[in-house]
Amino acid sequence: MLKLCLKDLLAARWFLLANMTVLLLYALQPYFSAGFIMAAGGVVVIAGLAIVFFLEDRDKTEILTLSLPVKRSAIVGARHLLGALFLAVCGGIVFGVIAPLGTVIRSRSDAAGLSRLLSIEAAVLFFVITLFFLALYLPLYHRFGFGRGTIVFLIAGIALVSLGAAGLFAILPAAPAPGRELGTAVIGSVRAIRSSLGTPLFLLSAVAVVVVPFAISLRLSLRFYARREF
Amino acid sequence: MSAALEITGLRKAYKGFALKDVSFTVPEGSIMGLVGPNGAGKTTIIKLILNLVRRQAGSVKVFGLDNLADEKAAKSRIGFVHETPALVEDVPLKSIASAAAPFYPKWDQRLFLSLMDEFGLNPGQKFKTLSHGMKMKFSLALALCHDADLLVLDEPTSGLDPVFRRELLERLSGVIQDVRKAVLFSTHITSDLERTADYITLVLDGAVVFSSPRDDVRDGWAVVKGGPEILDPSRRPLFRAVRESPYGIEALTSDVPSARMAFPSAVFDRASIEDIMIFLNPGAFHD
Repeated sequence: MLKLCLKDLLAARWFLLANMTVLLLYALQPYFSAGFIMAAGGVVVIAGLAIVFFLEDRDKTEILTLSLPVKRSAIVGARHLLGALFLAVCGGIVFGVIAPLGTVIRSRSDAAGLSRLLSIEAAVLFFVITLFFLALYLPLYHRFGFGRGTIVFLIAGIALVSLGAAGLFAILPAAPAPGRELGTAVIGSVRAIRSSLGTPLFLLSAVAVVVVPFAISLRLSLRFYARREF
Repeated sequence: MSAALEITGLRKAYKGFALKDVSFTVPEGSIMGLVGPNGAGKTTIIKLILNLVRRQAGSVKVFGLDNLADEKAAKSRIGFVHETPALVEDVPLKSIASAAAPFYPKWDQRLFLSLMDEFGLNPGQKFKTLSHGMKMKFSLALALCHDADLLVLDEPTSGLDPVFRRELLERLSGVIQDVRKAVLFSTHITSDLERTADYITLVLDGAVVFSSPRDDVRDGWAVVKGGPEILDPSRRPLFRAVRESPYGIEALTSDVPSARMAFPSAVFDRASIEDIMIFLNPGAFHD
């Protein structure tokens, strides 16, 4: 699987580098809040995977990949692994680079918002939500291919985000100003959950919330890809 | 002689087309030409060998390994060259090779570099800058340098100039100097087969018409030319196909001795692969 991941990384390396750079440049703008930066990080994770799939589709290299001495299950596994790898890298950029750097170079008021990124709650929220969308995209890609799979994912993703945002505005104790403060308000709510559960149980629950959809996603992808014909 | 590739009772149906119980064997140390008109099912057979499409019945064994149950081991012995080589366009050739090499334990980097040199390819060049012929050469280099025991080539000569076509066919003949190796290549250019193939499998409309040594095909089929006596219904079973032209009657037979006895005054010409293909192609003539 690692060899397959390396093959994809090699093919898409410059595009991926540009993708990560865009995230950095975007995040260092003074007017974006913690929520926006996390969302951008998540988008970059999905975009990274979509870039790999796009190049594979554009250059029609899937037949070559399938003629290599690998099983289809390994190809699916490698794509899931690649998604997880992008998530780890983007998570590293958001929480390891942008958050500390942002608190230094931004104004005091912005830094107060960004400091919320340097928390367990923010990290858990970022990983859980992004992994959920990865778990949604991968089976759709394996079922429909790049073009249709991405379109279906975008439609489903936009619908879910809209529903989620509407729900959050409705249930959050003090409805935040649209957009700008939503992320920090959500982080605050997650902090309340952490306080009530205690950190170990909170983290355990987060792992379960992450693992279950990803496992289902992997299983669906395997099933869909086993049926695909080229 | 053991089989490099053994295909038995292979079936695959699409809307409007079906492969019907395809069976043939490629012995080690031989070149098998898979021939048939466009749409006959050649590419589908190759896709089934590589498990790019799912078979509905039958089996494919590569050196005794089932291509589904032992997919990884079977594919590690196959070198595949596609009709339109598709590799990552923006990456230098040496990087493509570096990405492919880890998948093959028998990858020979020195052989790769020497093939690049022999084929006039620059390892630093990007794939997208190559012509079709050069892309084909590069694909062939990739297939050869992991010491594949079975080369599977889908229409490798289509779109190539005659010089490189000849070069490629000679290279294929060179591969089977090692008697453990074999080559299966599909084509609709019948002259390629007459020059290179040891065995020929003719596929028409999803079914194998014959799969035989090239010499048996050459000696066993004939075009019979004569008068209206050829149309005698009692002798019709001697012929696989009959056509009438303004100049007389022509018929294709695969039973030359019996046909000679039945029509001693008729003219018998050895049937080329192209003759057989044209006579038997349902779209070309009435039967």
